[in-house]
Amino acid sequence: MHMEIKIIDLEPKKARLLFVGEDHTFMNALTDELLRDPGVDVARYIMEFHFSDPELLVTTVGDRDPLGAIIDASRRLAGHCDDLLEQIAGAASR
Amino acid sequence: MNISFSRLDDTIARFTLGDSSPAFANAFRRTMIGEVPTLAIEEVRIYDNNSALFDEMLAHRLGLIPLTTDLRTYVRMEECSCGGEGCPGCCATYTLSVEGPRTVCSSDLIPADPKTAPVHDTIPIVKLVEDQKVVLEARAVLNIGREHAKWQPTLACGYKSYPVITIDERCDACGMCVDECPRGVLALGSRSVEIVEAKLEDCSLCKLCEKACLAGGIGENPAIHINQDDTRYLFVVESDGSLPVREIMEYALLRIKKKSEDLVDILNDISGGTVHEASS
Repeated sequence: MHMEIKIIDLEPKKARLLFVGEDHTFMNALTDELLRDPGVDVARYIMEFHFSDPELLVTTVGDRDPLGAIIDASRRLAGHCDDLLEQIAGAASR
Repeated sequence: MNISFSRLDDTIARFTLGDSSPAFANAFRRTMIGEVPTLAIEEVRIYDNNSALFDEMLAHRLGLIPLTTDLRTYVRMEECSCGGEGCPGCCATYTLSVEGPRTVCSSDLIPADPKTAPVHDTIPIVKLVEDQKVVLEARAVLNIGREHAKWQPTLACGYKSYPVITIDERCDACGMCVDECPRGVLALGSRSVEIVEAKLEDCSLCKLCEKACLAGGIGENPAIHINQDDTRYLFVVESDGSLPVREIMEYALLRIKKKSEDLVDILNDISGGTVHEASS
């Protein structure tokens, strides 16, 4: 199961991406993480219908690149998971 | 982000997720429920069934029986090298042959691979009377809860915000909130009401204590305040027995991590690596 992404719109300060097969589970965590970035202005996703693929909209301020912001947010999410996995392994071995 | 367990065994985990956000806590919960694969019966070939239940009903009941799952042995059908045909690498097969009068139980499902036996032996499937008979073959496959609830590895899986109770100096220790609290979180101290530390996590944030305080005629604002900490979450995760809770949690975190890493790779590919260098 690999992630599939379609870029709908890409400008220097704005990106619209379609996440094929994703739902609120990942998108909500991603947009929340994106909004922690001071360079990000808008980060929201729209699912037109319950079964539609979510469309992510990211706009930035200053010279922040929208794709760069998404990459950094994803890295932070992966980092949180690593932290927790390490702690679970530690707790289970005690 | 940190995690501290108050209980962790094969069937139940209770833990506090700290330094987190509502979005991450919810993504973690949803992933544990809907994206961790387990085995469940998906195809049934019925040779004989003159029981009171229709074939469809019987198949549905079989599907809901939790099966012990070994994620190292089985892969999902669409990822299997057999190309979705069905082979011992992606399917677990079972046979069932029972004649009445008696109740058909989950222990009557005989697995071809003993590692995939039903979690509980006493789940009733159908009651047979004299001369009734059920003979069938079933095939279980790995899939996720998003596809159908029978593939959910969890029973109760949820969280609540960590309660923050503050009692201000206006408290006159009338004890009305202590009587009202259904969880026994509060106790009467010498000068004011106190929080029983060991019971704090039991608080359900029902705010009955605030109402009781107001009813005592203290004014417009109560002397006790119930708030929630939006960075700490109390989780309860119960497994149906198909997978140990620890494995469910780890698989869910690996899933979120893999999605994030996939996204990084794809966006790096799209931007030709330039964004990656610029942003890091």
